[in-house]
Amino acid sequence: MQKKQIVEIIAGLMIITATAGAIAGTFLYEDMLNNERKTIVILALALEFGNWSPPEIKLVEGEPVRLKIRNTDTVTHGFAVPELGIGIDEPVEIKAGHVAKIDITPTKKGTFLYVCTVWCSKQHPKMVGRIIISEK
Amino acid sequence: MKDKILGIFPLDWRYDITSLPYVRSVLKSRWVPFLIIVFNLFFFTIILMAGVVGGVSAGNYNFAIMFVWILWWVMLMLVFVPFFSRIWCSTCPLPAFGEWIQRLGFLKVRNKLFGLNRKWPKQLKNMWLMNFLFLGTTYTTGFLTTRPIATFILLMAIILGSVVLSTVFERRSFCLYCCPVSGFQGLYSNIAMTEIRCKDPEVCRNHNVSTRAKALGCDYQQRDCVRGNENGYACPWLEVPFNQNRRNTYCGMCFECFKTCPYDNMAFNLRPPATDLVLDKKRGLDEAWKAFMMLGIAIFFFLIMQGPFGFLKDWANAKTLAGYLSYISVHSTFNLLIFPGIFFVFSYASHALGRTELPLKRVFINFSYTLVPLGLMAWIAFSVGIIFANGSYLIHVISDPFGWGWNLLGTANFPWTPFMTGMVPYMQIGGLLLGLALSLDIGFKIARQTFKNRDEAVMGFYPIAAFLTVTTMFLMWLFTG
Repeated sequence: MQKKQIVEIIAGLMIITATAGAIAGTFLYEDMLNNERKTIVILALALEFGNWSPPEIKLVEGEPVRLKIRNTDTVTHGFAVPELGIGIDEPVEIKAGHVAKIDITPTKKGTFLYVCTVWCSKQHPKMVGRIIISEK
Repeated sequence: MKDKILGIFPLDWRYDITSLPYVRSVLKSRWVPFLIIVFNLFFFTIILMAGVVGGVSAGNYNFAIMFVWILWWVMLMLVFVPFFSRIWCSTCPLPAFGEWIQRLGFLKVRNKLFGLNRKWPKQLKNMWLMNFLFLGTTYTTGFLTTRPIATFILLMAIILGSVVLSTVFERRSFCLYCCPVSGFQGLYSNIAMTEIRCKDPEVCRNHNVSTRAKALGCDYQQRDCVRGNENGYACPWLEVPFNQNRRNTYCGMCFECFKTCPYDNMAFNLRPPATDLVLDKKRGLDEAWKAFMMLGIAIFFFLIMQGPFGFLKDWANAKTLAGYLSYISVHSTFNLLIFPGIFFVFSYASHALGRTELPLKRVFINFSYTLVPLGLMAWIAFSVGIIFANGSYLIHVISDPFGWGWNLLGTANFPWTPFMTGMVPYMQIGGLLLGLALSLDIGFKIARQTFKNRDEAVMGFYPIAAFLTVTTMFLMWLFTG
């Protein structure tokens, strides 16, 4: 193979690394972080812009899980599951563009509401989602 | 006595940076600017991803918005254009795909380019299309700076547009005549303190008949920098690199002519600022309107992004259709008609007082170039207000580019920290005064070209000097008042 062809291949590989490699690397890194523990991503958005997404999450009793709450909104949101004691003693406040990570291991089954605890819009009281915890 | 810029820098002073042998060998390598393009491509891949997955509406915590509209835009206005002309164009990754498709390779040199290689329509060989495309882009400023997906759409449109046009039209036609950010970079690069020109015009003049050219198999009709050779492509920007009487406007600083010149006769010069503006050649209405629009848009952007008028923000953000249409109407009318119209009145007064035989249109066009230094300084003042107030968001997003809770560099929780904002008004005033000084200096040089003698030039320049001074005062009041 000629030197010029080798140089072209190297240049092409560099471009693939900078584009496809960057994309693949991003998702692999995110997967690696999420593999530490089962992770559920929740988007926090005021009701006018979509509300919690997903509005309902399903967990299994006794199974450790990480809730990753991404505030992709322009206002601060809070997160609490009062019946599970999450966000009560230590309020979870998530500024716009920030992410909160909460590690929990559900200990009782049932359906519980998770709510925004920061006044975020006129529809703030309706910013509610559900956690359904089932038996193992 | 030699003419000087601001009475300090001789107009013809030059220092060839490539007289340093290492710099020259770097610029002659085919890996330059390729490696920088690849580096930027990586960043723009992250930017495009962040536009899609990096959040919905928190613009100040989005990598795409922060890196494009805060860092890149500010760097363009503060560093790249004033110091290095269109150096960004040579390293811009967006049209690179189109160019690689034309070349069917990355570094190798082919004699024939892939694609139809059609000539760009003669009627569109100017800045008008870019003027309207840039104005059109500014209609979306409310979205671009707050909604990441809007930045994604704009960048993808540029990439796809360049790919399509590169397969139809020759070389960098897209960059030359279509790219929305190309026009103002071209015009403001007239101020740049660097240029690419030939070292010794005599060498280029004798190129055709040289034995060395024969030995290298050159076509005697054209120089290597214009037609390309085995070491490099014909100027991708359709320039005539050996022409000393050209401005930076359409030179993409790609350094291809360094690679093709068989005599090593190209120079990357340091030079006094704004020297191109004095060149009395190829001034046109398209560039004049670009100068008006850029200054007008700087005023509008300031009012929308940093000004006290909430209703203007709502208009630009399209809170209501009526408001958005009002924004487009007022913005377009001011930039396309009112501002040039006011300048026309002052040009008319200049024409009358200077009693030149030149047509009024020529006076109007010539003096419109005096707005270039002031316009760039207005953008610099605007950029200073943006970067010092909002730059700290960059420290956050570099650690968490997609808002996924990453903390790559340990700075994800860095709070918003305005920096030196107390100094910003002084920097803005200083910049604008420097812009005024340069505009007045260039303006008087243009007056001497436009009018028959010094007395008429002085008389003819009064109205323009008044316009420039009043505009600067208005800008100072606007930015710091």
